[in-house]
Amino acid sequence: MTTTMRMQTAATTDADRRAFTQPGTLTLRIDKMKRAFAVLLMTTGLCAGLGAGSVVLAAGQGLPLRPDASPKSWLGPGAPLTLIDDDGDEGEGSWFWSLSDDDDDDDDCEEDDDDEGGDGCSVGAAGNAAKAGTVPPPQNGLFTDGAAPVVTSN
Amino acid sequence: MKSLIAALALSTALVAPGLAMARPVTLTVNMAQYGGQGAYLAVYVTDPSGAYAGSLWMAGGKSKYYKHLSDWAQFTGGDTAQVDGITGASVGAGRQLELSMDLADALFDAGYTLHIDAAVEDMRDSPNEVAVPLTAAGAGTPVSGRRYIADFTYGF
Repeated sequence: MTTTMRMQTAATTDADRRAFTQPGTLTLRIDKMKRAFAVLLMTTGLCAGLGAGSVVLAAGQGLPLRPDASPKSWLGPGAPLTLIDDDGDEGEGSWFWSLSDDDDDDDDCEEDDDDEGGDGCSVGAAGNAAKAGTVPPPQNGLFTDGAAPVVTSN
Repeated sequence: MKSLIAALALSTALVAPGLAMARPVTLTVNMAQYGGQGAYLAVYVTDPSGAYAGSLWMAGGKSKYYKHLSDWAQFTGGDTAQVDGITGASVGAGRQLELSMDLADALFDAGYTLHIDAAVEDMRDSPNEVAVPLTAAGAGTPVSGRRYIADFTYGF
């Protein structure tokens, strides 16, 4: 036998020796790999199954598929939505004005002169009180002459 | 001539008591630099028993925000008719609101109290921001507010 052949034989023999001297190692590794593959396959199958299920469900209900389908999309078109919380501005002692409540509202009817008929500020509009000077003051016994208070500066 | 004098005397007798019952009053509200939007203010009076007697002024035009003037809203049920004809604009931070009005003389030195509720968008409500007894002696004396009003004064 040549040197090379002896070395190869030795290496093979060494590997075999290692395998044989540690008989469980190689088998253990193989088992672990098998388990890993099995888990991988299971999760893949699960995900694929969920995706297929949603496709079937949506198709059955005639719903469009959306990549960001939320639970709401599972409801039929006529399904009522339950109001969970009214709005956040009823906090005790706090005024959490939602500007989205009133998009145009930075302030109220400050610019009276320019905004006579404006948006929510006109007399009677949306139940607003009548501005001073448009109607007599309330007959509450506080004003003697029936004349409204006069704003002299603001 | 006699009839003219008689008519004059009669009209004076009718008018004079009215003049005696009225008192020209100036209310001055100096707002603090609270760093927010214009404040809604409800100026109103309670009687000696603490019951609501009536409103004097509403600064702020949109009634949907009146609920934040919580004491006033509780007294009136949010009834905007209470402030019909006595409503104006909200008052900005650092600004002054001066109101001149003729008030019944009977309000003074009789246990009546003037209240101001204040509220500012996105900030805390301040019911009863100012509460001051209406007395002749108290005229001209500044009273500090709790949060948004730097001081309030009433004068004759």
